[in-house]
Amino acid sequence: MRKKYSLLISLLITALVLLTILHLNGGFNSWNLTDFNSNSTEGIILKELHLPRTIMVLIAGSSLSISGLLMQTYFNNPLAGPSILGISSGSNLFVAITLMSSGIFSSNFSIISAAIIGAIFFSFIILGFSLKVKSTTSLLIVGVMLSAFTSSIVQLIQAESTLDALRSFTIWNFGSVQQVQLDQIPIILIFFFIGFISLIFLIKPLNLLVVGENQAEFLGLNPKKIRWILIIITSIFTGLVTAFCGPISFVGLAVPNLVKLIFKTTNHKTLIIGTLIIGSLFLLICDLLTYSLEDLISIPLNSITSLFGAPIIIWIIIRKKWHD
Amino acid sequence: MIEIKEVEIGINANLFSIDKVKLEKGKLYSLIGKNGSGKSTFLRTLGEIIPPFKGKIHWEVNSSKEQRISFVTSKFDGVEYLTTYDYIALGRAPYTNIFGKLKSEDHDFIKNICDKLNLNPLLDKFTTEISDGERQIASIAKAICQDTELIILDEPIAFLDYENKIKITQILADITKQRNCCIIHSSHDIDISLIKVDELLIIDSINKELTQYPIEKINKAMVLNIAFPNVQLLDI
Amino acid sequence: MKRVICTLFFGIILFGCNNKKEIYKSDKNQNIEFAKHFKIIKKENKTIVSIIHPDNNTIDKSFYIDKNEPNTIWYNDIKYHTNTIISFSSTFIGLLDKLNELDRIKAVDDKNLIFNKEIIKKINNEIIKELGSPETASTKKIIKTKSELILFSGFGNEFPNEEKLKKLNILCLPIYDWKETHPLGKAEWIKLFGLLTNKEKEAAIYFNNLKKRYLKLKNTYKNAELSAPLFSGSVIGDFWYLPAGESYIARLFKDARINYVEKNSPGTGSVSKSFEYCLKNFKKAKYWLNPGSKSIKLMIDQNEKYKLFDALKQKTYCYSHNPNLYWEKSAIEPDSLLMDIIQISHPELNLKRELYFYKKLY
Repeated sequence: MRKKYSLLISLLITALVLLTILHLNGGFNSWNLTDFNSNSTEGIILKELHLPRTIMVLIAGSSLSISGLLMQTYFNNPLAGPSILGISSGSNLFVAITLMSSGIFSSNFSIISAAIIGAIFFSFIILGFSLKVKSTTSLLIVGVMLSAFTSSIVQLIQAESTLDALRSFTIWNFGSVQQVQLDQIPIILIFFFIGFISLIFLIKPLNLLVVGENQAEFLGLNPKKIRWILIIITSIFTGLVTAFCGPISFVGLAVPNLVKLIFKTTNHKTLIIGTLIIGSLFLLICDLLTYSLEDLISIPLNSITSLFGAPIIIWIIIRKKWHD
Repeated sequence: MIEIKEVEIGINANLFSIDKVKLEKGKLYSLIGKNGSGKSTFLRTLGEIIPPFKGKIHWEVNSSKEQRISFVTSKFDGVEYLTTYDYIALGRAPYTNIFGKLKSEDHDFIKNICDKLNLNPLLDKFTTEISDGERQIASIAKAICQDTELIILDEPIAFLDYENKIKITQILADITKQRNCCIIHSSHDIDISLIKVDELLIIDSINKELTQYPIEKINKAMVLNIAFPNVQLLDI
Repeated sequence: MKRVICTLFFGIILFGCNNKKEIYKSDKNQNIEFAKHFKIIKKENKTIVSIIHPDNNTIDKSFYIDKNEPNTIWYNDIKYHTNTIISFSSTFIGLLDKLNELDRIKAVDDKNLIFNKEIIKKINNEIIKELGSPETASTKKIIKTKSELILFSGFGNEFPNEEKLKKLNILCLPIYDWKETHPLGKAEWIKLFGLLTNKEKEAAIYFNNLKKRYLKLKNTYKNAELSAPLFSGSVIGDFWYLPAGESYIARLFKDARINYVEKNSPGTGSVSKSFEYCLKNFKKAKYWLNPGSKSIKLMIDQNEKYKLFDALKQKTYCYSHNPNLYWEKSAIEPDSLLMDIIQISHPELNLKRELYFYKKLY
């Protein structure tokens, strides 16, 4: 079985590397190998536009997919996504408030800060609830209700906003990997790395959670501790992406399901590696499409992820043998 | 090994009290009582999921909970893409390192148990692809791999056919002797219990007490009298 | 000698008077020269105004003004008074200001979009009401103003709740001045406003003088050197919206002898281009108009990648207009706008004038 995975993973990594190089050089449209250090316009475009975009798309794809995997394993629910705990709705709310107060003149920095503060704030709310709520199903419902509640507040804010603020908010909701600046990349990488390292320590708990939280507890899992760690790590991964790219949907939902279908295992060592690779590939392909059609038509990133993500989920559900 | 003295069992109120019960290694215990008498509550108290209503349960050994107690539920529906081997291997979790890595000694241990329980042909299949009875045996194998002093089973044979009921009860009896552990299970199959177990723990819901009876000192009529006083023994 | 001079003098006066008469004559014919989205037809006793739908060239609304009943218009056999007006665009304020008819305004959309100090004062004193955008304006508040005429920037659709308002004797007129692609076409809408406010003559006079000034300006500089490359706009989300080659702004650029980088793109509105396209094509452009911020620091706060454009790097050639002033007056004072743009893009002409709409960004 190990050999089977090695081949598959090597193939996937090769695809990832090739498509990354394609993306870095401008996608199908403007393929153009240039020197990194050149001071020409092409060189500047490569360094300031392409490089952050490529790095961001890989980080966003893998982060969101991993968050989705963590949530799906913890809640034992294939329809759980990174937003299920309501953390991204926190970012949504705070960004809506920021845009309403300053409209189209909001600075990039204030939007990023608002998203991060929103994610942290709502993580605390969920952590607070998690202390009072025992079962995982109840926690899931709390998360979903929190999202719904926040949505209605956001709608209220939108009803009172200027047209400029509304437009900015709508555009933020399109999701974009192009907004990130080159000098923001190091800090993004640091946080991604922190999340990534913690994943190594989550392999065993996640493998135990596969048989349910009760059985896992008998096998030595500390449910309270694991709940906290999962919430914090999901917040880091999801908050990071939402802050710099806006809310990107369907990646966290579709990719883990796809990974399980391809690798046919519950061992999270394999699943995590598979999710990181396939998550990056998925969003990379979506963005390559946006790239290629850029000069003809502007397609929001979220439209493409949904156009691909939803059919994948439907296909998985149809293919699945429901055994309840 | 485990001493339960002057303890009351219940969550919000006392369901029944225990004067003195001793659970020893190498013995198979059967817990008998009416529906609602508090069997599951007692097992969960033993399993340290909930505290006793009053009093404390004393253990001789002091190791961590996951190395002392293992718990088998009545029904396991399997998990998609989880192989039987990997499921059973989860039992070794209390002994693996922080990354969950199984050493070769662990693998040997697991394979040994699977061999004894005749699970070898099922090991590569997914837990969703084997039968209920096979899954139950696998769950027991997992509990055995956990190598605990006490194995608790909550109605393990309730959903199985007659053949499997006998088979599993025999397995439980064998394991207590072979691995020198204590196994307690709740059961509605009084006849099978009377043949295979070492001692009965019977809940008298009218007097609200649980008493321990070695198998030599009890028969079916007595069991019914204590646990199900309204039932008349059918002469077949 | 004295007699020659006197004759000449009287001749000139007569000639001048005759000229005035001629202006009147062209008023009577109402020859709409530049505007494409409204028509005026003069009949015996009435003047018919048709507003043309920009998408399908059909008549969107047609009303007439009875010569004997000033300050009223007739639409579908119903009379509407134009003594009071609700205005949903600051451009209309600019137009009404030129005709000295600001007193007719009873309600506007948003105080924050207004430049005219008088109007702002009246809003603060609640003499003029604030209604918000057409989509969010409450019908109740509209009725309270007791006005019978709503002027709004048409988008091809009806005004929200238009039918209900008609039943309450309030007429909604879509104004398509913003769809005009010629700067003078935009300004020519003052003629329609003149008819609404019984200031037909004044409107005509203003427009003719404006036309002369504008064309003279254009003529004066028609042989100037084509300027260094210039681009305009800013990025919204991932895309840059630029004036298309046949748009009103592109026309202004052409009249100002500007080397506009997107002059060849088709369309009369805007085109959307990716950031990369813009960086590739505009990086070396010298002038940057309307980057949508009030200072260079704010521009960088919005999007740090703006730093990659030479125009911003060198910090000398970014110009932004005061939005409220621009939206109020640029339509009706295209000559000042043209002059501004010529001045910005042709430093070699050494014009010592102060910019009217535009400010340099620092």
